[in-house]
Amino acid sequence: MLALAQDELKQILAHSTISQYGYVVTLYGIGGATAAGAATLYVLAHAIAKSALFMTAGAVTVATGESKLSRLGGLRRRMPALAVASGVAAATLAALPLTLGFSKDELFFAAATEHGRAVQLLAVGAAALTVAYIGRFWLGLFTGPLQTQPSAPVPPLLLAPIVVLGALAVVGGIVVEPFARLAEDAAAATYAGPLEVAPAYHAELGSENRMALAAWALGALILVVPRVRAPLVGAFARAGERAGPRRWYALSLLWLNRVSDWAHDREVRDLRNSIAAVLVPAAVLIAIALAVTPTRGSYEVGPVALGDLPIIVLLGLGALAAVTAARDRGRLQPVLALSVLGFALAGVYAMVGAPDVALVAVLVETVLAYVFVGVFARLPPATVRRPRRRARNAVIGAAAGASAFAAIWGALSRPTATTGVAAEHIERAPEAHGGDVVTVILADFRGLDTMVEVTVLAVAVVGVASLLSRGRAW
Amino acid sequence: MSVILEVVCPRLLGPAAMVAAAIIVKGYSDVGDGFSAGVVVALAVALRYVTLGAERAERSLPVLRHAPVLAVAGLLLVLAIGFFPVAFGEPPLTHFPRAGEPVVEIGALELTTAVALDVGIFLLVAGALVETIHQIARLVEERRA
Amino acid sequence: MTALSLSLVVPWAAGLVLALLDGRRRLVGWVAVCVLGANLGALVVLAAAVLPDDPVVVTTGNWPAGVGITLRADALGVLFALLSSLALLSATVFEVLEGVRERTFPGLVVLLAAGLTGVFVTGDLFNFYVFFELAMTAGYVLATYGGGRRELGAALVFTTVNLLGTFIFLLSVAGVYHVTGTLEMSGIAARMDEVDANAAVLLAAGFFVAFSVKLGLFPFHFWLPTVYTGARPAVAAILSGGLANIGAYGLLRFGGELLPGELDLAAGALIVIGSASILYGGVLAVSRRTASEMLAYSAIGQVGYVLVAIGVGGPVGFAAAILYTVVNALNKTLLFLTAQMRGALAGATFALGALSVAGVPPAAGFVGKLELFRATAGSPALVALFVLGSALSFVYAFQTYQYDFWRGERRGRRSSAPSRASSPRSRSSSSRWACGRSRCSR
Repeated sequence: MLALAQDELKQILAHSTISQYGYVVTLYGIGGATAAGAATLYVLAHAIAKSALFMTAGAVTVATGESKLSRLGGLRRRMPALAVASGVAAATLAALPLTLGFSKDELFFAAATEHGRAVQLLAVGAAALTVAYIGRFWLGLFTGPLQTQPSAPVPPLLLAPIVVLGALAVVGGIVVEPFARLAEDAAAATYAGPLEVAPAYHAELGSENRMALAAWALGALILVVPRVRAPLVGAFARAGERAGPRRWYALSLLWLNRVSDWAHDREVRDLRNSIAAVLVPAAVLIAIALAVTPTRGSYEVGPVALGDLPIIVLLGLGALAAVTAARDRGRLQPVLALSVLGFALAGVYAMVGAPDVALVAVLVETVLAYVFVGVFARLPPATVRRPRRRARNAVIGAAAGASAFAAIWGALSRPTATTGVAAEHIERAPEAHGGDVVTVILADFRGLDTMVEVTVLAVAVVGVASLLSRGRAW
Repeated sequence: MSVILEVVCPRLLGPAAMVAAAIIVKGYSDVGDGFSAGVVVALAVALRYVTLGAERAERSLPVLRHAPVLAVAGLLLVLAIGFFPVAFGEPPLTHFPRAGEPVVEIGALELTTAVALDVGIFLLVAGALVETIHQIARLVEERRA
Repeated sequence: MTALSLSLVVPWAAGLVLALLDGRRRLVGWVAVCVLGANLGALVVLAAAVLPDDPVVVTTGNWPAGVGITLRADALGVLFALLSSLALLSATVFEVLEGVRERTFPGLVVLLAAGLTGVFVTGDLFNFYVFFELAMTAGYVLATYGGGRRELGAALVFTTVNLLGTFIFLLSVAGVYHVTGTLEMSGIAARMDEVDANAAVLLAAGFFVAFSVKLGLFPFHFWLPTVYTGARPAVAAILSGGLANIGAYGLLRFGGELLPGELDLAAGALIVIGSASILYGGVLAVSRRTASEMLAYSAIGQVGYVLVAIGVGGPVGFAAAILYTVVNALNKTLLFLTAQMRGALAGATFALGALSVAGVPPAAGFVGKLELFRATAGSPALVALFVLGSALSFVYAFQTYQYDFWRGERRGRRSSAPSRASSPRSRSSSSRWACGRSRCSR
């Protein structure tokens, strides 16, 4: 409706798009297999036709430098190809026969007919309006006296796609089959069931055809009798300006932007909060998981023997070191505390029978301690700022730690699977000519893992080089 | 203290290399592997850096210059060992000699593909760590200058 | 088997050598492009073998499965590998044409390709982890690309948060090994039924958190805008079009294959989180001023669709999730690369990608959206959510388009200005058409 009152070319088309998608929504609203099929065919036909028309508007504007319908006209002599191609597209939208648009309206009417007289009337009225505004667009552009002299010919690059789309619309009108198939597939998705889209030209005067005829007649009437058009449209447009969709759209867009800005301002960006933003939801998820599953038997404290004492002492030492590292400020103390933690864990490995792991852990820990101490001892003293919101950090850390503790305990306290692959590794180590099973696992059974892992080391060193000396290797 | 450091530390490199070689050679039948060997060598080099300073350490041991190339060469060796069986239609990382076949031994060294893999890993780890030490030492010296 | 090995070894070895060379030289850059092309080619050959027949399965060292590491290229994995490789290739071509700024860039991208290929073709849990770490480590270093204060800050956040995610993943891997006694994925799937419900759900939650962090799903997403906005366009394209695929793949592989029971249990939660992600990303993307910032939030919203589809589940749901991930990765690569460019062609391409994100018919995104609607046809609430999400994406995509590509002529004007009599003739037809489209939305 508003499209009839607009003067700007693209405004006409834009409003027309709103109305066309209105059809689609109506069709989905009508429901049923016919409507779903019609809706998808409608989208298809509309996409083709509307693209062509938008490009026509663009081409005309490029050629004339003018984008108002009232100042354009009579261009058919100057741009015959454009006139024909866009005429076809317009005909598609207006649902004239021999175009893809005809099938779409036919289906639309068929769907409407299924739903009684009121819907039928509404459908005819809507289709009539379409005929009217599209007719106005095309007739206004290409017929009548020449209003603005085109200053340049239409670039062929602009023209070509319009012609192609127009041709597509005609071909689709004559050979509906492939388009119908496409629409059928698409509609089956939205309707969630098989359905048939079978548009065809019915020679008999069925109700669809009668409705189509009525729509064209009505549309033509609105178009040629400006006196009918002007007051009707004028009143509607004024109402539309005040309370119409456009105003609503602008308002809602404004609010959307405000909400968006508001949320964006509240987002966290710094490192500390980014970490917290991962830890907190993770802890909540774990807590929910714990709440919904039975935990009976999962959390039992086993007996403690005297032989476990060294391990307990080492673990206690580790825990203490961890707390120190987290609490202490400055540079050296946390690093030293972390080293203590590392060595304590290495001790635990050695005791539970993993000397290989312990050896590597000790070596790596030593290198790390060296590097840290070496760097820190020589860096100029920096003022360590006291982090704000320490209490909050402590709470978040404690929550994450508790959930991790619960999850690890829950998963690892199960008895080891009886038929683990470890036994087979031990058994097959001699086959690989190896004596020490850990080495055989690293170099043979799971050698691929080792290969990747050392590559990770290499990449990390590349990263160090890239950061410290712009990627120079030496 | 510092005298001991200056005298002892530079001379630690030889023994460290020995230990590393022993770890690799013995590794396949005993505790240890190429990774640990690489770290041992890197530790000895790090000690030289600490006692001599970056410039002297690198001048006295020009081979360090090639650490990045050695590291990449080691990794390429690892890849070659891992994937050459594919050329013969075998899955990657197929072990040669195969299970049950006799192993050629030179003293304590067993000639198997897995040992070659370990040598590659040793080269990579040692090279990569020395490279890291070099970069950090450079940074520290720049800061001091 | 040969194609599988080649697709791994070629980028792996070549990346190491390239890392030693000065990547700012043109030749090195083009060599990297060739290597990525070879990787893509090997993957295509592999896909040709995998898709009609059965998956290609190789266990290293001729050991029985479980003792050795199983490499298993099936349709899902190969598809993701192809997708990521393509994204990496286009981003690298883009950057080489623009001029590489840092020595290490080509080598790192090629190594990242090796890592990603490994992630998608492995059939072993721990092997998945190590390849994953390789890809992520290369990603961390790439995030510093450019070397400015902004890039470094973003890279620090990216690295720390993702290391946290990786650590959670590793803990879950250890837990799975403990309760099932194997690391081979098919073995795990077979034994998972016998595992205690409590342990299984906790492990599933761990995996979910880890992959959500990678994907940048709603409550875990805070690192993402900082990084994608801070990084250079090629890097943002690599991170979002290549690396982020791991998250979607992981959810599909681990949820659908290893822990299907737990996935069913959590379906409701997944749909809720996914919906929150769609709305949050959509709303925040609306008022962003720069294209890359908009795209970062849009990425959060788009993965929400994938999660909802996974939550819906069943063959249709998974198919929709896969299809949507593919379309989304392609969109993001395209958009991040074109977002910083100017000119008619870039404008047109951006508009095309934006149409695709919004799911408008001529673009590929329509197919993805269609598949989503097919998956959720049974639930009106979800259909309504998708429609709302699509409307939001339409608004933000074209608002940004107007801001960014029309800035020269329409400074800061929001509402559609009625008169624009003098428009430059240089703009290409499709960009003009897209402008028209954007107008019809207001």
